[in-house]
Amino acid sequence: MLLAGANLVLAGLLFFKLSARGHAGNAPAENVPEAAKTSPSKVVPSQAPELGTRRRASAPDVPTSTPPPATVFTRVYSQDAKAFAANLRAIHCPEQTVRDIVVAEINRRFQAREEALRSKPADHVPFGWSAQTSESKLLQRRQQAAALAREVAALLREALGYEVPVQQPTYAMTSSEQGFQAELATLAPGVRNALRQVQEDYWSKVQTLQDRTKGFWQSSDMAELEQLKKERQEAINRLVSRP
Amino acid sequence: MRASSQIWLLSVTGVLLTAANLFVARLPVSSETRAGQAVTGSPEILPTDQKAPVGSPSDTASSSVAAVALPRASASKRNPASSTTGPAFDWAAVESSDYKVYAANLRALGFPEDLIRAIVTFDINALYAPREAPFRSKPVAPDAPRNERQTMPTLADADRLRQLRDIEIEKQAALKDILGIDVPRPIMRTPVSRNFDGYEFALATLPSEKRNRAQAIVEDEWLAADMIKGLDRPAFVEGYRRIREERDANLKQFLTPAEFERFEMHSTPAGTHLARRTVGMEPTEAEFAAMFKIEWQNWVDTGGVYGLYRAAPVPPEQIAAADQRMVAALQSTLGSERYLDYRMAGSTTGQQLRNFAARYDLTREKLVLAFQLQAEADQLVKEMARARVGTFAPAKAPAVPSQLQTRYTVLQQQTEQVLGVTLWQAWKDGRNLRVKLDP
Repeated sequence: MLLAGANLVLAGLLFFKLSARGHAGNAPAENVPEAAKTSPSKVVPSQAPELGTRRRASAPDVPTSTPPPATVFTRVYSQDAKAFAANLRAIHCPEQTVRDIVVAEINRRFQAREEALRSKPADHVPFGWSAQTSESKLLQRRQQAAALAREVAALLREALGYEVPVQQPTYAMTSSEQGFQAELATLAPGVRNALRQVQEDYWSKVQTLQDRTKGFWQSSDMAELEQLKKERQEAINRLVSRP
Repeated sequence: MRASSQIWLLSVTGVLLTAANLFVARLPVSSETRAGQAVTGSPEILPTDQKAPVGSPSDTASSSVAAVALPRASASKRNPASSTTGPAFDWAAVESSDYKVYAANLRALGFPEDLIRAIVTFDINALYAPREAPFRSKPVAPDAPRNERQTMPTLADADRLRQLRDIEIEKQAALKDILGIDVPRPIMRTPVSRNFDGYEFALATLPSEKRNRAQAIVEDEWLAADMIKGLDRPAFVEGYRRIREERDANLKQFLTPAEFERFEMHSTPAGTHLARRTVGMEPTEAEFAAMFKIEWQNWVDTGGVYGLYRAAPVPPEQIAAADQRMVAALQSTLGSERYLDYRMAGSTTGQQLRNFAARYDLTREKLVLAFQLQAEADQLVKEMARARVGTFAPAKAPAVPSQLQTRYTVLQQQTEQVLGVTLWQAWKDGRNLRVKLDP
């Protein structure tokens, strides 16, 4: 009996040691670079397998195709850009490199959409011509390109926790937007984010109007647009006049 | 089983289990979690102090500038926080001051090739940005005031642009050396406004091995033309003509006739203006090519000198005749339906009517009828305005001929019949409104 009990204890100890080695790689990162303090310090669960996860001990009954060998990339990569950035930070990737990688990855994802909105000869406004046009296809491209740049900037901001400038095609630029961005840069982050949201809300409502009018505006639509502009300005005034 | 056998069996099992416990306790950490080591099955990550062979001037480089051994200077500034504890994999092993090593290390970690290219390109762009910044001009929005969109070029501008170009060519060679890819260089942005986007689009139509050479020739032409802008008009036009002839001769040395024509079609003002005017028509490539040939002929017949609209003096009657020939050629080439689409796309009334038709689900038949009636009415308005306002003595101008007025009224009534009362009111309400979306 004593011998049997001792064998049971030894078997249990062996099992425990083997299990403990299997979870060694899941230890959280304790020393995260200063710049990444806003991000979680441990590896964020992502769609990719967690770091250190081992293959299951028991083989499946039905033979399946062999999965590709796990790499460091597959372990840190995530469709969620924020998680991807956090995973990179967790393996001590310097913040500048995290930024490079995340920006490159997001640019890669948006490549097809950006390609479709790449400048064409017709987008250019010849010198001496007015930028205003009734051609809805040109207007649509400008707005789509501007919206895409805002979308990419928002995604980068969300993923990295700070601002990364995103260049939009020249044809989609407006003096008004350039001035707005210049003003934003002078403000505190909290006010900046709130103002950015006001601007985003404005463009979202303008897009709804555009979709409804299909480019042919009537007096009632113009009045609605003026109201949107007024509401936007009031929201901005409230935000910038706060102590 | 006898008791002695049981005891013997249990003892042996106990010894074996003890040995197994001791063995597991002494095993080293597995290769998957060892810091800085390559993942199993992947090439080993190069140590950070190992330099890849210095990039040598390559005959595959995209320019005559030798590919430089580009130090990844920012790597030294990217020291991650040191840690005595933490995850088993540490990025410090990936960083390298040599881009080729850095790219190889990323590859060893399983980074996809296109992401590696994007990462390295981004990194190199950031590396060159401080050198380029002093020579770059700020992008100007298309709705900026005229004096911001174009300024008189100076020798200092030309010098600045050449220096920027040299840096960009160096960067391009570095990317070619490190990644083995040709990355297009942004076209030079001169103080004189040009369709830079059109030129980049046109360059993209050329085979990649010809792009850089074509781009340099075009940019040299711009720099030369800008330097004579201060001359009086006839001297400038003549000087510009010679510069363009030389530029075209240089391009034709290595571009095929088809490549040259396609390049011109997408870059010369005659072509880019046509592209802008026909956006709504959505011409096929064949239609556009055919229209460009006709429009280019008209451009030349009416005094155009390469990119300069009506730069050479041409008598008005010749211009009128050339315009008539162009209209006839377009009608013949496009057919009546597509010619109508061409006209609608190129006029504000046509553009507005198409938007109107989209909003109110007008049939094409109604759209076409409404356009024809409205276009004639618009023409009458111009004639009536000319009749009312004399050149020298508006007060003494004759009254608008009643025929014009009568015809105009009839056209308006017919348009109302086509659209119906409600839509006619809607059309009148919105046709001249110009919306400004910017807040």
